[in-house]
Parts: sequence; C-alpha cells; structure tokens
Amino acid sequence: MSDLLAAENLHKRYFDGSSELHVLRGVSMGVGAGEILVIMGPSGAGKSTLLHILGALDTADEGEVTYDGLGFSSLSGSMLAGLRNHHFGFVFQFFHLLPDLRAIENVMLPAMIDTGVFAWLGRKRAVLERAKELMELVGLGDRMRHKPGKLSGGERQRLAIARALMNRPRIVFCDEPTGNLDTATSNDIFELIHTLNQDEGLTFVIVTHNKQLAERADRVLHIIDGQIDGIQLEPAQDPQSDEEIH
Amino acid sequence: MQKYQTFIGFRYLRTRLFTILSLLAVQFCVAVLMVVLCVMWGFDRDLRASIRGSLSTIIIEGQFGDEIDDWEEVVDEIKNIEGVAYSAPYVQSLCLIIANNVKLPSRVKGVILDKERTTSKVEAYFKNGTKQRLDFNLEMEDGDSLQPPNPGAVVGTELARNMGLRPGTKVRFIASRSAARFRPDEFTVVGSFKSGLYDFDLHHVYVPLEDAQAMLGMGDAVTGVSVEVTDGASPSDVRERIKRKLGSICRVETWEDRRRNFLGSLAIERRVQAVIIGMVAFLAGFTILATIWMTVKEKTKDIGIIKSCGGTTFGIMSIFVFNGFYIGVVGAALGLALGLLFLSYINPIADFIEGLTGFSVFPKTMYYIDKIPVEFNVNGISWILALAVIFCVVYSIIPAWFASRLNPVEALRYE
Ligand SMILES: Nc1ncnc2c1ncn2[C@@H]1O[C@H](COP(=O)(O)OP(=O)(O)OP(=O)(O)O)[C@@H](O)[C@H]1O
Ligand SMILES: [Mg+2]
Repeated sequence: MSDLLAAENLHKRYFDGSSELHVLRGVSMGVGAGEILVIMGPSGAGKSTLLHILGALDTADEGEVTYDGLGFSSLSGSMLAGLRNHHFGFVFQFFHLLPDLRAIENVMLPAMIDTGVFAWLGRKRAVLERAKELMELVGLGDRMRHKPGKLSGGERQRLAIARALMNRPRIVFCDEPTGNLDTATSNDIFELIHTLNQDEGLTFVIVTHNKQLAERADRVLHIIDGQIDGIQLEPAQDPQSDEEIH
Repeated sequence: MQKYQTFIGFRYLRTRLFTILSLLAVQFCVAVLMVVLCVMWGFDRDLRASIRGSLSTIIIEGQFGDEIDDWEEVVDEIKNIEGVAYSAPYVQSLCLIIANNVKLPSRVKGVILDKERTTSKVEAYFKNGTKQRLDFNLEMEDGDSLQPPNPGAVVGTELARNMGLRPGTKVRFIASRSAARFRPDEFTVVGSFKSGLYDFDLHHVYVPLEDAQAMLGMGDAVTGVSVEVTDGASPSDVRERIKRKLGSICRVETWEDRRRNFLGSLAIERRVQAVIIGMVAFLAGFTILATIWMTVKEKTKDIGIIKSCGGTTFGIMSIFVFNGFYIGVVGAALGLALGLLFLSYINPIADFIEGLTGFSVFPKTMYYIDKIPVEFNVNGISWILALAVIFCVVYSIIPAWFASRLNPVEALRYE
C-alpha cells in the first residue's frame, strides 16, 4: 500500500466504573498522500477518538497506526512528540490557541518547540519570516500582534491553521474545523484548505458534520458504532485513492 | 533546553498576581531568614567575644593556680616554638573597687601595655574609650601627659559610668588574694576603655604590671603569660607544642578550653536554631508549590495544546520548573536587597520603634552588648540564597511533574 498513514484494526475502550464503552471496534483505514479525507458520523461515534489516535495524541488499546512505514507502538514518547511537531498539524473545533501568546507567537510555537534556546538566536529571523508569510496566507497580515482573545472565531481558526502549517507538516488533522463558525466563514476555511491541498500537496484528515465540506473531499469515511461504514468516492477527483473500506 | 520552555515560562510569569505574590513570599522569607540569622551570628560572635573577655588565644598559668615566678624564662622558652607569635605576662585578681563611696566587684588586670597589645585587643579598647591613652599617664589640659602621683588605672566605660569615675578620680582596690597586703592601694583613673561588650566594660580595670604586683604582694611573679599564635596556626597544635616544651610545671590552655562550658551551650543552641530554620524554610516552600500548582491548573488546556504541537513530557515539566527557578532566583535577589537594607539600618530602626512606642526593642543590659550585633556572614548568606532557589525548584518539580503527565486528549477535549 502506498498509504502515507494507515490504521490497522484499531480498538479503543473507555471504562466508566464497571461499565465498558467500546468506542472503536476494529477500525482499519488508510490516508493517501495529498488527499483530503473526510470522516463523518453521528455524535459520539468515535470520530475525535480516531483522529487523536491517528495523530499520535492518543493511543489505541489494540491495533497499530503506521506513518510512512513507522509503527507508532515502536516509537518512544519523545519520538511521537517529534512526529507531531514535524509531520503533523492539528486544527480543533475550539481553536485551542495559547491565550498568553500573541497571534504571531502562536504561529511560531511549533518552531520554538523544534529549536534549542541558542539555536533560536540564529533561526529566529527565518521563523519570523515564515510566520508572517503564513499569516498573510490565511489573511491575518494585520493581526500579528493581537492576542487570540481579541480575534473573531473565523480569524482564530485561520490562525490555528497557520500554526498547524508552521513546520511544513505532511498531514493536517482537523476536528470539526468549522463547527463553531457561520456558513460564510466556514466557506472561507474550506477555500483555504482546498488551496493548501492543491498548491502545496498537503494531506488533510477532517472530521466534520458539514455536508458541503464533505462534498469537496476526495474521500469520505462514515463511522457508525465504532466501525467504518462505507466509502464514497468523489467521481470527478483523484482516481488513485480507491482505498479499502475496513 | 528548547526555546518554548523559557519563552512560555516567562510568559506565564508576566503580569500575573501569583507571580508577584510568590516573588514577595520568597523575598520576605529570604529577608527574614537573613535578618534573623545575621543578628544571631552577630550575637554568637559577640557572645563568644564576651565569653572570651580579655583571654588571649593561649594562656599559660602555673599548675594548680600557682604563680609563675620567672615569666621571662617562660617567654624565652616558648619564643622559638613554631606558631608562637607574641607573648605577654599579666597579673590578674578579683578585687573590690572603691571610689566615691561606692564598692563594686571588679577584675584587675596588670599588664605591660607594649606587650599586652600584641596578644589582645587592648589597644583598640583603649582607643574607643573616652581618653585615647596608650599608656597609664594622666593627660593634662595643655595636652602634655603626666605620670600621676599614684599608679594609673584604665577602667571600663560602664564601670566609669556606674561609679562616676573620670580622669583624676582616686580609686582603691581590696584584693581577694590572701597574699595581698591588707592595705587598700590608691590608684588614679587616667582614662576608660570600651570593648563594646557590656559585661567586660562593667567589670574590668587595667593597671600597670608592677603596680598590680606590688598591690598584690607578688614580688616579680605573675599570674600567667598570654600567647598569640601566628596567622593560620592552629591554637590547639601550638598548645600541644608549648605543653611538650614546658612540661608539667605549667598549665597550658587555649581560651576555648578555659570557657568550655559556655561554648558548649552555645553549640547546642545553634543546633536548635538550625532545626527551626529548616522547618520555616520547608513551610515557606509550600507557597511556591501552591503558586505553581495554581498555574498548572489554570494552564491545563495550554498543556494539551503544547503537546499537540509536539511538546514533550520533559519540555512541559521544564516550563514549570523554570517558573519555580525564576521565582527562586529573582525572589532571592530581592530578598537579599531587602535583608541587607534592613540590616544596615537595624539599630536606627530599633531606636525609632523605641522612640515611637516606648517599648525597648533591645534592652542592652540584658544582652551584655550595647547595640544589636550584625554579622554579615557571606558564606551563611550564600547558603540562604542557594537554599531559597533549591527549595523553589524542588517544590515546583512536584506540580510540574503532574502537569507533564496530563493526557493531552483530556486537556483538549472541552472548551
Ligand atoms: N475519557 C473518556 N472517558 C470515557 N468516555 C469517553 C472518553 N472520551 C470519549 N469518551 C466517549 O467516547 C465516545 C466517542 O467520543 P468522541 O469524542 O470520539 O465522539 P465524536 O464522534 O467525536 O462525537 P462528536 O461528533 O460529538 O464530537 C463518546 O461516547 C464519549 O462519551
Ligand atoms: Mg468529536
């Protein structure tokens, strides 16, 4: 398989006292390089859980995720952190920006995580340039010094996207990126995602309830009762990603 | 150390009430510890000086309280012993001092000033007195000095004050010594000395050696010989060498041997102090723990975000330990400044409070010392500062560890 990211038979259970909640019941899937994959499903189906496991933020009880041929279970905690830093970007429904940092500092965060205090002295200028570029790209060129609290919802989400892109990741995971935004703003965000996908070949894995966004995806996976339900191919697009169902 | 650890660490410290409160807490603790300890060390130093009195580093006396008949021979014998710098003969006796119809017990010490100044601080004491005399002569109005008709005596300032003694006053001594002629000798007060040790200044009188010998009927004999050791020589080693040389005719002691009992109780006190101070520091450290803990609680979501951006467990931990370290270093520096400021003005402050409230902060007769003593012990102060920083770091490690263990998914799940 030429999948960039692949999940094999993932299981996730939560225990609440004596009762067991089996959230993921054997999910297998793949994400091809350069595609936009949308995951849909009813609330509580386990979409976020799956996304977190795919993004190495959480671990599965059973099964394995492989990125570029590397199994997550063979990697140490700091190697997984490195993976999240260099190869993955995250965009969340609630933006999740650091309130104490200015907009541009939020964008620079992944680079600061990647750079030692002394190396920073040499790298700072380049990082700042890149952060400015990204802020221009997402249309926040005049909001660099704002604290996130002073930005609107749409602006915050665009800022979060800029941050996710800082270290030139290969995959960006989005958990309901437009869940808190109105239709017009959501459309802006779609546009941005699309442009990034087309221009930079970025891979997106997006959990959403938004039908419009799903229509523009390369592929849509439905999760029902902790399992992948079906596959929808956008007929006009990307013939190479006819992947497995489960 | 990655850039974000210090960057975010600093940002968490900025403009937060907790930061200011914990900085103040550390500053206050350091300053209080410094003031208390420096005064305690000062007391210790002065108490030791007080306990030591006019004792020289090493004292040679006759075995069983006998006199030394030929002190020049003793001085000759020990002169070349390694570590012996100076030696001086003295006569000492308990006397009743009588003047202006007042009688007080006192300790009369007969010395050869030129020799005595090499083995004790007598010179400095005399200089601090009302008359800066370095002989036993009486100073005349025109500045000339005059050998008084009676032998001269230099009395402690407190004694002079208590008995109304001034230059020219006649005093008599009644010695407790059995061999003394039973005829009160008349001396003339030529000046007073001041050691700053209340007890010492209240009870001591210096007179010329031969006059003391005459008064006590000792002939050429002396009570003992004071010895000062060379710089860096160990007094107890020198004592052993002198003992070996002089054999058993003489008793050779260091001043600490002589005052063993008093010094022993000082040492016990010091141990108790150390325990109490350790407990205070331990409790004060909880302020830091609470502060960092609050920060961690407040920043739970941030921790999830940083982890999602690739922050490691160690990285998260070091953000908060860095906070503790920063609070420790800055708080200790502020505390050092406050402590030094307070200590430099401690006596004016005490006087001011006394003037304001009428409450005597420091009644001097009670402490035998005439002002609040302060010892700026650089080693000790460094220890306080180092401990403050260490405590802050150690106490921040606990909440930092919890922070670093937070599950990022849990931290991020809800708005
Ligand atoms: N830490 C946890 N402990 C117990 N149960 C949990 C925990 N985390 C998630 N769950 C449960 O797992 C299930 C799946 O959660 P998840 O957030 O993945 O759903 P979702 O598909 O993203 O739903 P939504 O569309 O509402 O965001 C839910 O029923 C949730 O209650
Ligand atoms: Mg969800």
